[in-house]
Amino acid sequence: MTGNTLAGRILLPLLVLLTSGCLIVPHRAVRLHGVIVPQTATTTIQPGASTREDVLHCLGRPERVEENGRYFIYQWTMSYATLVVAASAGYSGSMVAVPVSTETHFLCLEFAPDGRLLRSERLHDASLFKSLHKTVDPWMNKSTPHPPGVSP
Amino acid sequence: MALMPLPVSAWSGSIVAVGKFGAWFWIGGALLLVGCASRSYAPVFGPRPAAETAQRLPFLRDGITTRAECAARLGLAQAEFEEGRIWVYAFTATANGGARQRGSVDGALIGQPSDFTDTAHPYDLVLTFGADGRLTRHTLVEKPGRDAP
Repeated sequence: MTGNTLAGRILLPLLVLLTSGCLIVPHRAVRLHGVIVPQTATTTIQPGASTREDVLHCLGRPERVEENGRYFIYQWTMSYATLVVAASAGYSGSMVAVPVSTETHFLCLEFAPDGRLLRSERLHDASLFKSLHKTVDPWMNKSTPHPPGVSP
Repeated sequence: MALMPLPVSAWSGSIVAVGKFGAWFWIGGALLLVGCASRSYAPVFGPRPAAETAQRLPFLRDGITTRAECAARLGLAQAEFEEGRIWVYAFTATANGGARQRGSVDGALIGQPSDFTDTAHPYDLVLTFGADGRLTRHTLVEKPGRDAP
């Protein structure tokens, strides 16, 4: 084994390994995707009283519309920590920051055929492999009693 | 407390001796700049006041503006609900108090004269029409953080 080979195959990777590291930096909640719908924005939305029109004029267009407007889903993702990975070799180095500890939030709304709001609920998914359907489908399939005066 | 005079002040590339009037120079300058105070506000999710909507999109008037006029000015809606009764457009504020339409499928028509876009203030414009095809309700909903165009 020549000197160059020894340096290239063993010493350099060893040096990179010894001088690299990672760190998880917790921080305040930071929005990654979507538009956050705060609690205060939904205080005027009441099942049985509000309509699809009211919701649109209050919250704007939803991220997803299911079953021809029966369900509205507003969705946003927050990050609570960042993984920083740094590595150096000789005089050069690089650093990568990746958001970790993310949580996807959903505001789910169901409307009756006459356009009145049947129910609304806030859901969240903090799992590693996030899926809209894994979180929202059970809610959509769940039957709930309808508010007075609202036909299902 | 006595104001410390500044010996010189730079003005339009030349050095002007200010001497004992230095403090008054800065006070006068500050008073003149009061008129340049920013009118910007922190973005807040939710409907904007009717007065602001009227300023940004003055052609929208409930009971008067027709569906055809909206379509002519704004193009196709980006989303429709309840069989076309409710239209939604995406807008972004502009620096002079107007609004610029975003991502229109028929060529991004602009609701206001061209101006610098203020990407910090994205909106959804929600329009509801009555059976006679006239506007019955319109709202500019601010959506902070929506992706810029």
